[in-house]
Formats: sequence, structure tokens, C-alpha cells
Amino acid sequence: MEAIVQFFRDYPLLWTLVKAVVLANFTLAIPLAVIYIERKVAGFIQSRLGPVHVGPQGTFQTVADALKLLLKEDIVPAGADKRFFYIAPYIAFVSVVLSFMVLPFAPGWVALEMNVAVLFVIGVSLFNVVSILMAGWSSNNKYSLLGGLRAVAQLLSYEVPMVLSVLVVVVYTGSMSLTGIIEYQVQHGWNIMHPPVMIAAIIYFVCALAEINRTPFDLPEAESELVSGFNTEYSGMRFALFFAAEFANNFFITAFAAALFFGGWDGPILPPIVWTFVKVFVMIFVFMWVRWTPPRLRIDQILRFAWQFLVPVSLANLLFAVALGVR
Amino acid sequence: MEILSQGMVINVGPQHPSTHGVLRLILTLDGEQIVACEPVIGYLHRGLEKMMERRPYRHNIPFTDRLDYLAALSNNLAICQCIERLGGVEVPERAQYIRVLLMELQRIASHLVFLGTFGTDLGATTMFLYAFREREMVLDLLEECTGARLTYNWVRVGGVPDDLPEGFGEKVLDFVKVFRQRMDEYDRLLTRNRIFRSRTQGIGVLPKEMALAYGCSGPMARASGIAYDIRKVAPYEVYDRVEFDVPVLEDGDVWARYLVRMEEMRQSLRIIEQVLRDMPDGAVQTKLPKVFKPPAGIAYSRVESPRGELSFMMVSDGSSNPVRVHIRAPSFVNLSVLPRLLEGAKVADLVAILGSIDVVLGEIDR
Amino acid sequence: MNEAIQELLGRFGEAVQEWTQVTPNEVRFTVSSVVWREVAQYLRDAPLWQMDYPADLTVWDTGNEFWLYLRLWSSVYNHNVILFTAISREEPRIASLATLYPGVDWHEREMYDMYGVIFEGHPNLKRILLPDDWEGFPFRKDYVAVPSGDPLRGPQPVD
Repeated sequence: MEAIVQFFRDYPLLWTLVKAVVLANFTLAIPLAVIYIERKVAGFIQSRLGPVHVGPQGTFQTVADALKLLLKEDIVPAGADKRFFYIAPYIAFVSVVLSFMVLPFAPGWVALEMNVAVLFVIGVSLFNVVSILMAGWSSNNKYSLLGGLRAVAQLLSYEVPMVLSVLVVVVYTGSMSLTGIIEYQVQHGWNIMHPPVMIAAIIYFVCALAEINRTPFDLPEAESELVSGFNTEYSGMRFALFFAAEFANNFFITAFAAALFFGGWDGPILPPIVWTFVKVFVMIFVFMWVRWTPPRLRIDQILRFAWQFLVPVSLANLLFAVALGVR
Repeated sequence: MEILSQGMVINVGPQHPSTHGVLRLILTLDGEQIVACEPVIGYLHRGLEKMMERRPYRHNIPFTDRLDYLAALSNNLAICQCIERLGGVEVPERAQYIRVLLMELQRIASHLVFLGTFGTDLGATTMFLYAFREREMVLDLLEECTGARLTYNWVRVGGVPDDLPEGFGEKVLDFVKVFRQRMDEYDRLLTRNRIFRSRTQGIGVLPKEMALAYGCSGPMARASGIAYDIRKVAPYEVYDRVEFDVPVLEDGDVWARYLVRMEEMRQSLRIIEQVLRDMPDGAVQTKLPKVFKPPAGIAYSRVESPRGELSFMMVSDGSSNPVRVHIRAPSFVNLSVLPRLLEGAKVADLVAILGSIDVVLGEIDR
Repeated sequence: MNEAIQELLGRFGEAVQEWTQVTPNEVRFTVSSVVWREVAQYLRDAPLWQMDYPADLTVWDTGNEFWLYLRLWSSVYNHNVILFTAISREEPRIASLATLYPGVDWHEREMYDMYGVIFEGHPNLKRILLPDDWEGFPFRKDYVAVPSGDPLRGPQPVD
């Protein structure tokens, strides 16, 4: 064991490569689990069973689906802008991998320790927006274009309140590093205990739903209106990458929320890595619960809600947090 | 200074996840606003009216199942009533009660499809599964009685083919009890949901005068303030002997149409209970001669189908085949008001408005 | 109802070729095709009639001529009127009621589509159910069609 650790200390680049490979695979593998849970939860809410045949309790269903998508024919629509069409799914995927780089899964288990991790995450999440716009535009399809434009409007509008609520946590803990924030919570109790942070958490929750295009904010991929929105023309592995990116982002956004508000890997008895996963999956369950219940909002209602309600409230909340006493 | 922009022409359908059947809409958009809409129909045209001219009167009843296939029994009833009026045929009382019972069960089944698809269009996919879970119960009942789940063909000229099966009444009453509770569930899921309301209130308003001038009927008309329900205005079968209310709302928007249909389902339950209580014994069909030649003349029948006023008109010249059968389908007329409803609406509202009209292409195209 | 009928007969006189009162609130009139539109307008506007709801409009072919059938209902009085008129098969033209009752717009288009009846004054008289390039008028009694061998075109009329 010591020899291996010494080996990597001698070759830091190799260690970085190992971390990158592990993270990329994790980002590919975690959607398999999240999608399975989604289908099961959706099934139970709708008084049906969800996947049951493939594997014990249907657990291999998503693996089978992923294999199916790998084997599909690669269709590129005629007239599509090939450069952007090819690259869009990869950009979406890479943006999620980049965000996972700075996430601490357990004390010391973080791929890249950054003292501006929060800023980094917010910056990288905008790659997602770019990829959606690329996909919508390059598909040479009016529906995709409409979907892409709507998605961009929605994502950009909800970035603002999201950043403002994350700022509240930064104000409280005085640090932008995720590890620093979690350590602060280990010493001083979870951030969510403070009222302004509670409000910030609720706002963050709503913005997270909008950022990952979930009902009630899923107009960009509204099935019954735009067929599939910006990923209508994508098939096979490209579509799988978009899907994987979306569900990995699901995981990441809840993990980010766990780190910011609920103490990350902090918790009694169980090992820290288990606590991270527990918190993440509880929040994902709530997301799914919300997804399958109400109808979706119209784009102008979505934007109005963001700008006329969330932004003023989150600004006021930030002032409230600052007034209550900055460290 | 005006910004000149060219309208984008977008084509919705005939294959599209949200068009209810093979309907094609050619929309001219200006950003998110709809400037013009032209519905293109005829993808399901089979020439039923012409085919009916070549067959004896009673052989045309199975065709009618394929008109409004979500409420097949109403079509059967309409054509049989028309033939009965042409030929002066009486229907025994028990048969009339059975017909009303089946019509109301059919109304519930059809409105459940509306509920499910409407929820899905707006994004509440869960509603679809709940609605179809209840519809399965209705379809099981109807299958036990008629032998079919969709194309029943179970109304005959002069009554119904056979009596109700043993124990049917108790099963229907069990269903009624369960369904009343489930309707409260739907209320909690959709009616009291703020997002649902904001998507449907004030959208697609159909003013009363426009509804009258266009000949809109059924829930579309009743949501716009027109108290026109054929079961009350020109009662047929035993509707004048049962007590029920007809919901009429003033707003004329998508929300009002949804509420009207929900309330109609509740009223149907009331009618079913009364019918089961009062049903007399007796014959279920008047026997007709093998070769049925009604006297020359013109007759029409009107039925309140779940979509509106379904009317058959027949012309007879004394021979065994009709000279003309004309089907006045409620969805055909209700759809013609769609371009006016969409003027100035947003693309995202198109799905809600089209879903609230509740069209079935089978009867539009015939 | 009786008073209203008398008023109509007084107004149109000879143009009403025959009439019957089928039930206390349903009356059928056969009118000459020249006054088709005037009678419909009168029925809509006259205070005793107020037929504001166009229920149905259709055409049928007796072999000798085309007959039109228009059914109206009044939401004020709850009475029904059916209007009949006959037009020639060789030159089937009649005034359009689409601007009076928007509800008959699509019915008239369908009758043009199936019988070839030209409704003069209709804002948009083109085929509605059949493809735009269909030849012939299928519901006519003398329409003969044979299979054309093309699965997309279906049977085509034989001239």
C-alpha cells in the first residue's frame, strides 16, 4: 500500500490521470443507478411496478438500455451543422465531469482541491447551456431550435437566483472552497440551521429543478409539445450522452446542495461516504416526487417566476444574511 | 420603428405526441405567438357515409363504432334512434333503461380518456395512469355486458341485443362507490394544483356568441354559458325520468371545460344509481321483420355524446338501403372554431387548448 | 310557434313551396333555392325565430337533383327548423351561408368536396377531407371508381 502511494507521489501526472478516469467512469455509471431509481419511483407513484424483468428487481434494465443505445445506427440529419452536432453531447458530458472534480465525497476524497470551488462550479455549469444551444441550433429542425432557445432562456434566468443563494452560504462560512464549507459545518452545525440559509436552500432547490430541466420546468424537453426539444434529432450514443449528462448533473446538483446546506459527508456512526450518498439520494427522491406530480409551467410563466419573484427574494435574503452578522 | 420579422411556418402532426388522432395543424408563428392556424383533416376519411348507402339499414350499425371510437355506444344509439324514427319502431322500457345505463358508463370512460390525455399534454403524466386505471374498471364492466372493449356494437334497432348479465347491477354499484373516492383524488392532484390552474385559467376563451354561431356543443358550449344539453333540452330514452344537473359555467376557458367534464362524470354516477334502482323488467328488443323497409321520408336523431351533439340524418325512399346517411359529428364542428381560439395564443397553449376541445378524428373524418 | 310560422309565410309567400309542423317545436320548410340565404338570414334575425345555432347542413343526391338540408336551433325558444331546397345536378350552385353562420363553413366545404356543390360567397371553398388533388365528387350517385393500382391514390373515378 505504501509503495503504491509513494509511486503516485513520484508521478503526480499519472495520479491526475487516474483521478480523471475514475471520475469520468463515475459520471457514466451514476446515471445508470439514478435512472433505475427514477423509473422505479415513477412506477410506484403511478401505481405500477416499473422495471422488473431484467436482473433482480429489474436492476440491470438501464444497463440493457445503455447497451441498446450503443448498438443503434448513428443518424445525423441532412443539413445539420456537423461540427456542433457532433460536439454538443460531449460538451454537456464534460461539463458535468468537471463539476465532479471539486466535489468532496469524504474527508480528503476530492479530486481537485480548489479554494474557489464554488465559483468554479458555477462557471462550469454554464457549459451545459452552451451545449443545449449548440444541439438545438445544429439539428436543422424548428422544434429543436425552439427547445434550445427556451432552454437557454430558462437556464440563464435561473442561474441568477441560484448564485445569489449560494452566495448566502459563502457569506456565512467565509470560504468558497467546498472542503472549507463542509469543515465549517462540522464545527458549527449544518448551515441549514440559520434562517437565511434555509430560505436560500429553498430557492436553490427550485433553481436546481430548473437547471436540470425537471418538471415543472421541463419545457425544453416537453414531450407532448416539442417531441423531445433540443435532443429530438439525437439517437444512439449521442442521445445516451445527453441523458447521462442530465442525470449525472442531477446527482451533482444534489451533492452540491448537500455540501452547501446539509454538511456534505458529515454525520454520526456511518462512514462519511455513505452519508454523502444518503443525503444525495434523499434529495433525488424528493426531486422525482416533484417531477411526477404537477403539470409543467409555460415558458413565460417560468421566466416571470424567476425574474419577478426569485431574484428579488434572493437579493433580499442575501441582504438579510449579511445584516445578521458576517464572519 | 417596427422590427420586421417573417412568420415561421411550423407543422404540427399528423404524427405528434400531442395531437389527438391524425390531425395536422399548419401554424404560422411569430416568436412564441400563433398568428394563424389551419387545420388539415381527412387523414382518417373512409367514406363511411357512402358505404352506408349500399347496405341495409341495420348492417350499418357496426360502422358507427368506428366513428367516435372512444364513445362507441353513443354512436350506436344515435344511428339506431334515427332508424327507429324513420320506421316508427317502439323501444321497450327496459331496453331504454339499459341504453341509458350504458351511455352513462360510456360517458365516464370517454371523459377519463380526456382527463388522462389532458394531464399528459400539460406534463402531469401521472394523471394518465390514474385515469386509465379507473377506465379499466369501466371497460371490464362493459366487456362483461357487451363482449367488447372498444367497438361494442351493442345497440339494435328496437332495443339492445340481450339482457344485462347476472349480478351486473351490483358490480356497477361497487364501481360507483370506488369511483366517487377516486374523483376526490383527481381533485387533489389536478384541480387544486396552482400550476394546473395557471396553465388553464384564462386560456383559449370561447365567447358565448362565437360558440353559438359556430355550432359548438357539449362541454365546449356548456363551459361558455350555453345551457345546451340534449338530455335536458330534447330528452330521449328515459332521461326525462332521472334527476341530474347539467354543469354550465360562464368563463369559456380551458379551465371551465375541464371542470364541466369533471362534474359531468359525477352526475353520470347519479344517473347510473337511479337507473339501476328504477329499471323495470320486460323485453329488451322489439322484433323487426327480416327485411326492414322503412317508409319513404327523412328523419334525424340527436344524442348527447361525451363530445357534444351527435346527430344522424337519414333519407329513405322505401327500399331496404338508405338513400343518404349523414353524420353530424360534434368534434367536426368543435374543431372548426380552433383557428379563432388560437389567434394570439402562445405555442405552449396550443396543446392545452387542443386537448380541451377533446376531438376524436374518427368522427371528424368519417 | 304558429305566429312565427305565419309571419314567415307572409314574408316569403310563394318561395316557400311546402311546410309541415312535425312536432310542437319542430317545423320543416321546403323553399326555392333563390331565397335560401334570405330565409336563413330571416330565421336568424327575426325576433320570433332567433335561430342562432346552426346544427347541420348537408346535401343528398336523388338521382334527378341535389337536395340541401339545413337544420337550425334556437337557444332562446328551443325550437328547431329544417330547411330543404333543391338544386340542379348539372349546375349545382347556391348561396353560401358561411358568413351568416360560421358553423356551416366546414359543412359547406365538405359538401363541395363530396358533391361538387359550389357555394357562392364562401370564403375558402376548397376540399376538406379528400386530398387537394382528388378528381371527381365521390358521393354522387353516378360516381364510378375503379382500383388504380396505386396504394396511395386508392380507387380513381372513371369518366
